[in-house]
Amino acid sequence: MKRAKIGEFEELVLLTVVALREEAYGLSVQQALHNEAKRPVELATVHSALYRLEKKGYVRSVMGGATKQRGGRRKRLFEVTAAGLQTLDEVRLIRKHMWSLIHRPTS
Amino acid sequence: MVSPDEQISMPRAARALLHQFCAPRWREEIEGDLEELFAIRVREHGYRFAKLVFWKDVLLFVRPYVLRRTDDYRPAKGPIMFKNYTLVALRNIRKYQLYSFINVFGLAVGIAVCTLLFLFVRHEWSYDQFHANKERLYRLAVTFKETGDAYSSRSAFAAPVGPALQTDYPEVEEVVRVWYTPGSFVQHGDKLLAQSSAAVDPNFFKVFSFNLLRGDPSTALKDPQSVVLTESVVMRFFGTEDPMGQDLLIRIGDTFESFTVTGVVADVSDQSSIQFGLLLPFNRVPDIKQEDVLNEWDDSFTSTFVLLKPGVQAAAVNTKLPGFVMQYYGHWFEGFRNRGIQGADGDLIRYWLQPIADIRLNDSIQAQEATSTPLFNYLLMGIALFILAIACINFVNLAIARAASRMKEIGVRKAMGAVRGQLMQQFWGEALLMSVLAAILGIGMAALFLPIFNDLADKQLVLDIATNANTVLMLGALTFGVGILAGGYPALMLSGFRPVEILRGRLAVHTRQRFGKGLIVFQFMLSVVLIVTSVLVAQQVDFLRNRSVGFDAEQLVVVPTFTSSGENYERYKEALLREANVVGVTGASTPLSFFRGRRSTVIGETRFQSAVLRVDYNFLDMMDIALVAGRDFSEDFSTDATSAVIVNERFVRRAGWTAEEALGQSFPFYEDQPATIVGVMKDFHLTSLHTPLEPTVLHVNPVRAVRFVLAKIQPTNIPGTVETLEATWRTLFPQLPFNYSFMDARLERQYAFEERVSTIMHYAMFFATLVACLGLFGLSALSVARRTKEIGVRKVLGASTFGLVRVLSRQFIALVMVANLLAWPLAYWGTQQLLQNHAYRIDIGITVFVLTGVMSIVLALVTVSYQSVRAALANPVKALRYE
Repeated sequence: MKRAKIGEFEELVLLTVVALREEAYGLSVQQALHNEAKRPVELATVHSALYRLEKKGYVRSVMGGATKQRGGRRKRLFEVTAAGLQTLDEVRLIRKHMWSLIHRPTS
Repeated sequence: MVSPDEQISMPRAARALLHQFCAPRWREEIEGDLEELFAIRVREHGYRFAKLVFWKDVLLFVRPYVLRRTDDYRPAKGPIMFKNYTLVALRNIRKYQLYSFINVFGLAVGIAVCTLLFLFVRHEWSYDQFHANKERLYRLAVTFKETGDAYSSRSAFAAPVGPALQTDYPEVEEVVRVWYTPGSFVQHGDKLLAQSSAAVDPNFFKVFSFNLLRGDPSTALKDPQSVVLTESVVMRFFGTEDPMGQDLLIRIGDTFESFTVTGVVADVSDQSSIQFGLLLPFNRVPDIKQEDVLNEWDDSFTSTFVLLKPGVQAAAVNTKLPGFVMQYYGHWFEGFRNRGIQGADGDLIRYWLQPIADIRLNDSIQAQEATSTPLFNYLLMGIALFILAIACINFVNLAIARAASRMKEIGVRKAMGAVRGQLMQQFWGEALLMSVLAAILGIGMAALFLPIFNDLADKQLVLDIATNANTVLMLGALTFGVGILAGGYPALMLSGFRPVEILRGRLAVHTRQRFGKGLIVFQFMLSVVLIVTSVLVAQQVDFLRNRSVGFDAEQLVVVPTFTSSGENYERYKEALLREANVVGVTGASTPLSFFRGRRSTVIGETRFQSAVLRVDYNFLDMMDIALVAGRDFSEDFSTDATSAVIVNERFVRRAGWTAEEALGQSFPFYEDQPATIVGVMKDFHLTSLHTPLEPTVLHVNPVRAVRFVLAKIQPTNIPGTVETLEATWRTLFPQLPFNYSFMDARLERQYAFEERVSTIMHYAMFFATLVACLGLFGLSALSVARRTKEIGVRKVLGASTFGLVRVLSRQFIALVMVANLLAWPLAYWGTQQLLQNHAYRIDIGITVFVLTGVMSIVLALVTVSYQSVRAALANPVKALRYE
């Protein structure tokens, strides 16, 4: 498939995962979206998005990092894949290109 | 472990909900995130708010991908794990041999006891079930009202009652009357023996299902001179010859008559209430003159059985019976009322039909057919269940005690993904395995113990595993049931351990101490009750045996004369007195250990029942009964033979006199004239010590017309003397059989029931205590294991071995004392119940209770000491090395 589709929200989540580097998991992404992107979303929504991203192959996950606050439970930590980065790039380039059309007089 | 002060974890209800819908694969991460989120919310907005919002958080996770799927997590189902479970179970048994043995042994005892009980109950409950017509078969019974508000029931009627029922009521299809004669004399050739016989109506074989091997059931008893024999009677008289058509001499009244054998019936099963050795036609009742009996309405000697037509309800017939009573016995009501008994007609005398299956078990009805004692049955059942309960309790206790050793295994299993159900399966399976082993051992024990049990229960039970499907079924159910029951709680408990804590070595043995303690108290309580009761019952038996009957019963031979005329007695007495070994001879109308024949006595205004006994002149002297006032009978006074009586102290008291006042008093006694009291004797017992002393009257009229010879013999060479007695008899009366018994043996037999109860209680006491001690052993092991650290510390700080043992044993001693306190009132009440039928009882002293208490404490100490001494001697370093 040449052009992979990715939703606007999914793209946002994927970006956050990249930004968060090692500490990307459900709650941290949700908190980041809430605080940085000023986007109050439910935890479940984020989890759902991450699930879809993994299904599409844009992220991979491992279990790890159990803490006391989690009652000893581990987190599912996400890491972007090459395909994911590539998709992000594609999207960014398309956006960039479209934005560039705005200030260029159409000839 | 997170302490509650540090962090409030998320609401449990919401979490439970999550558990319900969330697939296990996502659960950890989602739950973890939720927990963190909740903490954040609590921080930012407070607990209340966080709680509310939390529900929203959870519910939003209800999305397709989150939900459980059927292929989600399949724990290994079915027989896959069984190989492992069995292996582990066997390893455990081998590793902890002592505990395993205790468990299996305890359960085996319980199973053995219950098996024996099952055999017993099954036997008792299935009497008379072999009759094809059993659904329609009833025995006629009558309930009278006695003085006060007491009722008594009987199943003995006059001969004409049966036929009258059949004529008057179309609902009645057949009526069979049975007249039993336990010792009728039968002779063939030179064999003269007493046989139990029953005189029955000719439709006997039609109504009852006795297996007539030879002869025609419809005609076998038609002929008045016919007789049907059971197989063993045939064997006794005819050996292997064919008895059909042969003649037998049977004593009817005073002469022997000839009867022809018209049939042979299979030996009567011991589960039949109707027992007989031979059958005669009803109108040929041995020993009685026929004309008297067949038309006499005021008698009551016949058992009357009724077969109703198909579809007829007994209740319907019962409602019609008052009419019958009124018609034939209406004239009795007046007599009842004269005696001061009040009530409606139907209340005073009530006829009713008793289903045949009820005959054996209903001991409130006096009848010729024997009944079992419900009290005895319930006693056995109660004891068996007791012991089984104790065994199961032990199992539970010991399983809990061993839980500590299994924890790592459980932890690993859970970490590997075992679901709780699987663990329960495993532990329940182990319990069942033990149960099966116990069953095998238990069957062996039951088989071993069966002869003794048969003695106790007076039966001939057989452990028919090979032949009877019911028995196998019962055993299977018992084994399975015990396994489930005993294994239930441990399975539940062991499977509930939290693996995380276990693997960290954190979780100390999480057992609820109170449960184990409660069980021990219960077990010891049962044991103490049994111990106290058996001791008391044994005391009672001893008391009865040793208590004086009021007359000299030693070296006294009782010989029945079989006639009412005095001639036999006189001749025999005369002959005996010539023998050197015979000290003295007297006679009486009853054999003294048994009495039947009370008469109503009226003295002025007072009316009471007294026992009447006809004796020989020298009775009081021979029997060593002292006179309180007046004189003994004497042949010097010719009037003694017709009007003199001697009464006992009870009689005098009832009449309202002193002993001196009684002398010379007259009261209506003989049919034609009053009797005069010439002497007052000391009280003595006419029957067993179960019944209280009663007013007694002795007389000698007609002279020496006594049925029983009482011969006192020398204590030396008793067998020789008995031979002499027999030889003398045979010379004098060749046509009469010779029967003898010793008076003291007769008296002993009266307490057969109590003896049996006593023996049973001893066995029960032994087993219950054994099993209780086993349980205590296990529990003490558990306790010691739990306190290893404490023991180690104490030792290091310088505790002596003795002091240590004392500390460890303390709690158990307390438990045993509590058990005792609970048990004592129960035992007291129990003994009262058992002895309530006894007119003469022991005083229940305090010594028994105290002694049992002390003994149980000592026993507990000994049991516990093994564990505590071992712990006290252990190296404290090992104990303190943990953590």
